[in-house]
Amino acid sequence: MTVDLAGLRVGDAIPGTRKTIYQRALAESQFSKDSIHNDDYTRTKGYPGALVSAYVLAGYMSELMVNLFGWSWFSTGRIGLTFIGKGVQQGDPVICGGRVKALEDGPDGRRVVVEIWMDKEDGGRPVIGEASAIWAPPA
Amino acid sequence: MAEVLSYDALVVGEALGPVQTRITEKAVRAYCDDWDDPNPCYLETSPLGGPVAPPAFMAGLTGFRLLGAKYDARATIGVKTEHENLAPIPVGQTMTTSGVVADKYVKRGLEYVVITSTSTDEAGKAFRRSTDHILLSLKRRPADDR
Repeated sequence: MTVDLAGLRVGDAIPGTRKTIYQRALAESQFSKDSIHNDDYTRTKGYPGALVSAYVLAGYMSELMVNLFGWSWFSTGRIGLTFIGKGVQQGDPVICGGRVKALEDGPDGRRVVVEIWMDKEDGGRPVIGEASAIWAPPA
Repeated sequence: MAEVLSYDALVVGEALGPVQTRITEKAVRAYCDDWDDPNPCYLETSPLGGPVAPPAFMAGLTGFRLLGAKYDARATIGVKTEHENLAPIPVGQTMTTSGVVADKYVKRGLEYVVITSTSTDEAGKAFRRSTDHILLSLKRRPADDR
């Protein structure tokens, strides 16, 4: 699915995704006693359970951008993500979303900048960031 | 055996890698299953012809793999990641990633390292540039050493 970007305005919400978090390694492997993927260890540090890796969360956010920008994302996409709060745990239902932050015209075309995030359905926003890609060639 | 990862031993400017990953059809299919993202561009055809790797394939792992190739980095945590996609890479290629320790810093007693890296295809063409901020562990430095 690719969104028709022609009508987007600053402030518009972009189509979101709903996902259930899954990391294969957490399902299939055991981790050392000082690993952030170890339930007991992370609980002693104030987290609700083992942390899902940042690269897994980045994959979910990248899908959101492929849906938005389509093929352009593969060659002009830029993304920056910050992982905060209590993290994300295996099996958490999440919603990835965003909003258009800016439309920047440049020599390569119009770059659409979006503010993006991942929300846990039971509360909290463990991922925030910004992404952009070119959607149209110069006039 | 990998060296123990120590903040003090990390040297800004230190080269890391290269590390190589073959982008197999099996690995891409596993990605699509795990992320529940069965985009036909990854599994069937793309505007490039054949299937291409998901743009995030191995993306957030490169900094960890580069660090892990030299150090025991099992307690690390990703806190920030940035990627710039430069081109699609076809399934079947071997990607090569090289990086450098770009910075290190202590914030509220926790130790961080910043790894910048570039991933190239088999022709040596860069298809992704990345920056990863990695927390070395959840252990805080002693209060008098911050």
